[in-house]
Amino acid sequence: MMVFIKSIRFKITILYMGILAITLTSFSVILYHNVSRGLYEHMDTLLVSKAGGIAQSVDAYWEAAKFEEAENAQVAEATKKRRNVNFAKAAQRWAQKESDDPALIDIIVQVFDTDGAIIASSKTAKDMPEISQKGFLPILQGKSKFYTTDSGDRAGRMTFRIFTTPVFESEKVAYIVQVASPLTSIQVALTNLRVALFILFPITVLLTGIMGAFLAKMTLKPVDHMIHTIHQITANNLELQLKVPSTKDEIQNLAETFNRMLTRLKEAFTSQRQLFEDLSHELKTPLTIMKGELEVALKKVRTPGDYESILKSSLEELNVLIKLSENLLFLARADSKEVMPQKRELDLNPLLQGVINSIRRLAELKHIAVSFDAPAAIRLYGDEDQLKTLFFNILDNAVKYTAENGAIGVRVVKDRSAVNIEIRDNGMGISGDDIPHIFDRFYRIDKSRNSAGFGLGLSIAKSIAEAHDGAISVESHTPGGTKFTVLIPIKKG
Amino acid sequence: MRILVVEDEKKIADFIKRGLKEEGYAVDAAYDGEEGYFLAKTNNYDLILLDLMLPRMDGLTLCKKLRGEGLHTLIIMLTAKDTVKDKVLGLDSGADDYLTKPFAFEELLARIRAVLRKKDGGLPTVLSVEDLVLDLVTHKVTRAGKEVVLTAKEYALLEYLMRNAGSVVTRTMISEHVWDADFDTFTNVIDVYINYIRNKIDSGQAKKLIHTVRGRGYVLKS
Repeated sequence: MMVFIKSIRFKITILYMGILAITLTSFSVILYHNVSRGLYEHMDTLLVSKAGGIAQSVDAYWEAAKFEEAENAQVAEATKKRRNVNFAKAAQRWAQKESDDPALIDIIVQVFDTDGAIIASSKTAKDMPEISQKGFLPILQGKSKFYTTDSGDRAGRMTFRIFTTPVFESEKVAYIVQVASPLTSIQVALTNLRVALFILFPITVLLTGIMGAFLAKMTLKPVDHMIHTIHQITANNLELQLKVPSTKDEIQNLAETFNRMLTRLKEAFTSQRQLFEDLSHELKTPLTIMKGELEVALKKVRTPGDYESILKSSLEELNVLIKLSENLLFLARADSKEVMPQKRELDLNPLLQGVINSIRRLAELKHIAVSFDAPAAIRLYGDEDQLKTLFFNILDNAVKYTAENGAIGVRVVKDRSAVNIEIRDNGMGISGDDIPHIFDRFYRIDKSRNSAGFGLGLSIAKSIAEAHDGAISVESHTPGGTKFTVLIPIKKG
Repeated sequence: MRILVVEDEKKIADFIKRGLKEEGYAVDAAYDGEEGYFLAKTNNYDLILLDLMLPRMDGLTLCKKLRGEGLHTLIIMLTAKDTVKDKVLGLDSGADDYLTKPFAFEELLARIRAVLRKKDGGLPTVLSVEDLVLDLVTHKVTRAGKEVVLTAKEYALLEYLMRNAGSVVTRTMISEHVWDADFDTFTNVIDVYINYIRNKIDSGQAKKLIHTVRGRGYVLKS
């Protein structure tokens, strides 16, 4: 269960539902608000126009009655609507005859005089709530007014929208028309809308949730497959690859990326395994010699001279093992950046001269001439011991692979930011197949152990150069010779 | 028994050679693949100890080449390569056995005895003719229950005669299988050694076992 709750499927589904719920809620609120406002505005517009129509209609009744009155009494006073009994009568007549008009269905009409007394009202007006005198004041001043109120306290309680407007005569309020309409239909419509929204809301959210879960499942199906495959991948079967869906989407991208990572991992594992195999091979030779020689020696009693030569031989092999472990330790530390070079300012030329002097002793055995060509003094930042090892390893390599009577040249070229040390020999050269591997650990061009060394020298040289933010490059021709170029930046630190 | 050691690491070749010689084997050493091939083709070896990583011609190629040319000399591969794949490759290239470095010298000796025994159709580890008994493992020789002390070379010669008991072995055969490449064929060393073992085995015995076949060589029979 926990797994499911934490799954992307579940999260996506919940997210879908959440977003939809928020969207739907705001949509519903806005819709409801707009519909509601529209209905009320429409109602208000209707009431205003009805009130206007009623006033005209009442006036028409009054005009008709006024002619009759005028015949009876030619009093100017009597022609005014304001506080005129005759006007009231005309209005009542209008109410009698016209308030049943289909146009006034659901409209309750009351006509007041300026004292606030009802002078006429439609038949349905008994449902109308009372209007307080206070409420009349602004109307007498010539303002129209809307308000909403509940009718009485009867069981069939209804809400009304009421519009009260003065009717003018000679710029004075002559009488007041009040129209009211029950809000029942609007309320019913809004209730229905609310119910619809409340029912549709959870259904929609739920449906979306189900569909979202399904979609998420469909979308993540390849991911499940990948997880299944990845579970089977161990260090021993890195050749296993993910099936790449050709969907051109993130999933495909993920699968391809993962496969590329697997390939890189496999390469790393292979080279690591190769390293261990090479290492065990390097260890085995001196161990085989020591074990074999000692076992053969112990088969019978020997002369002191025999024992001495066997012990000397064992010591030689022990020294080989010690040298090997030192080299390995150096590389391991360089890999883990455990030993940073102890850099300080030093003169390059004496350092190189020292290395060249010690290499000359080896070179003389093969009658190889070693020349040194350096510019004016060069000072750089570096670890003296490490730099010595670097140049010794390259020169030692050059001596090994250069035939008798050959020549080795060391040249120092300085430019603004770096110093290039070129070590050139006219030896056998390195073939194109070997060039990419010569800096690999335990890589020996001569596969047998005939040539001395472990194949670690150049690898160590490269580590040192890199620890000095420099680089080693190699150029070789078979035959013709090899040129190693060591680049060391001059910058401080 | 004459053995060729093909091994580029001189110190390893040396101690194997020394150890085997002390066991009475005749041993030659080759330090690269091509020299090994040349010696294997030139001399008649009973067994070749072959390293795999060799300069000039690697051990696998050498083994295949010898087998391809119909040479059935026993081959034991001696190498630091110890994965199953390497062993399968080695054995499939025609080797009779495979021993990984570093090895116990006693194991090397036991394996040499084992492959030689298999070649002889599963001979026991003890050879006997009449009351003469030779133990291939302990190198103990007895005549009529009494121990006979032999030098390594004498032992090797007797072993060779006993392996070929009943049939005539020529001086050339003896020189090829009991002596190594340093042997000077013009000396009468073989006759001298035959004499040594005759003195130790047959003297004082009613029944002589070592006989001279005039003009041809020697035979050991009852």
